[in-house]
Amino acid sequence: MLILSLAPTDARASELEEIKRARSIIAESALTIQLLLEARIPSVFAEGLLEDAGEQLGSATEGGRLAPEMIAELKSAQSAIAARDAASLNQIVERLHQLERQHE
Amino acid sequence: MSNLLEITLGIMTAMGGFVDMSELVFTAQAGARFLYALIWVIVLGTIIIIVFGEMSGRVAAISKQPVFNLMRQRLGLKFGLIVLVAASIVNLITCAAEIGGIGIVMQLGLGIPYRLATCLATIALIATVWFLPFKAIERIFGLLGLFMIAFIVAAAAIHPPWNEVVAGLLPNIPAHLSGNLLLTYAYFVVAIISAVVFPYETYFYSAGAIEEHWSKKDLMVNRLTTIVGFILGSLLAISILINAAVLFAPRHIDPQMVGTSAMEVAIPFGKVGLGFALLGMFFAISGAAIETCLCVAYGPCQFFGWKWGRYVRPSEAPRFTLLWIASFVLANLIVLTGVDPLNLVEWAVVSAILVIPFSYLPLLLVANDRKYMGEHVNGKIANFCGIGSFAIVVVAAIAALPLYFLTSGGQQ
Repeated sequence: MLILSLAPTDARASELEEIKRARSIIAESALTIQLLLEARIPSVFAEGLLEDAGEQLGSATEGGRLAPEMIAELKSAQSAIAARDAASLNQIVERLHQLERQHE
Repeated sequence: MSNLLEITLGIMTAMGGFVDMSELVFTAQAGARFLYALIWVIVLGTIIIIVFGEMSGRVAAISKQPVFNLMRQRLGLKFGLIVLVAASIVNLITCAAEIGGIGIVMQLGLGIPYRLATCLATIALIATVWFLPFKAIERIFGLLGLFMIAFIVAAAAIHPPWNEVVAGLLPNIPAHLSGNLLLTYAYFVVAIISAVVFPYETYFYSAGAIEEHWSKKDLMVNRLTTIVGFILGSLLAISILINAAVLFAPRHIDPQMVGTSAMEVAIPFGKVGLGFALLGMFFAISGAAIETCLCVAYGPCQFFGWKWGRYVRPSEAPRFTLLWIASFVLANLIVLTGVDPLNLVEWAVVSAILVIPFSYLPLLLVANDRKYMGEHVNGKIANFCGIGSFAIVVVAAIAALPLYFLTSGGQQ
């Protein structure tokens, strides 16, 4: 009963879940690019992680579960990953983090 | 001297084999999301695995009974069979998660396409188990898993706030948590306990004691290996959590990709550190894959009394051989369907905690049976720790499924 009383009652819970997952993947991509540019990780490692990140973000945008604004953010993130632009990715992470706080 | 060497190698093997995919995933996420607040859960889980690891080794050495044989004796044929099937499914899912993890490490380290990497890894693992004796398998992967010490060195190098780390050793609930986050915290408590005390570890340890013909004279090795080896192993898990709290949390990262954990070492030590981390992950995860697959085969063989073990040639134990090869192949097929290894880890962890009480209960009962154990029956301290640990895993098992569904696997 205690567990159930704490359970999320808001339908936005699943959207929050998607936002958190995407925010982390984008943040992981930003860190990967930063370390790659600083020559602290080899390109084969970075390429592998970024490819995985791009695929995960791509499948999130195709799910039809996200608001259009959120899909736009994810597409921007995909472009930034392709351009190896860590600064833009970090900006998206901050925006998503604020969005999360609004949902919580 | 040889006994000292044996104990040292046993401890180092236990340490190097402590971390697997589930600990990599959950401790990194725990540190990133709740900073140091969940360290005590790793400590608690380590105490539980020490208690039941020691008990399973002692029972195997004295009564010569492996875990699945005890299940049949103590739970009865029908219920024991249900537990056997459940445990085998859990082991298979866990093995699939480990093979997926190996594939990811090979992809990130060598640039081999993921699916090809898992197939190559599966073939290599089958060849390893086919050609190498039990002790060599255990030692090679356990000792090479010590590359994971890079995570401990990284934790020391990044200067975490040690006062907060120490505070995390005591059970606590962060004051700012409420609602969803409180549920997620509870989910992580259950998941970390499950990840640390995964049932395959007890099955494998017990089977190993029998394969190596342990007897009374090995009880000290058993005690030191479980206590010291698992404590040192838990330092690896704690280090992964600390690194995540220091390096990932400020960057808003809750690792969603397995390879991200390796960057905990790359940040302070660059490419060399990353190499050590990937090597450690590769051998630790490979060792876990072998252990889980062998456990899929141990289960039915021990339960039904078929010949089993790596101390005989594969052709002398055909059912056992067929089962472990089939489980490797099946686990790889699961991975090839495209399911995310992280999802496999979550399913493995949640389902494992449901099986753990039924794996531990027969051990606890036999360890208390003077007819089997003679003078090595559980004493007051062993019983206090055993019953206390059993109560904790029962509570965790009851809470696991509701928490998993309410938090979407800890994502909320």
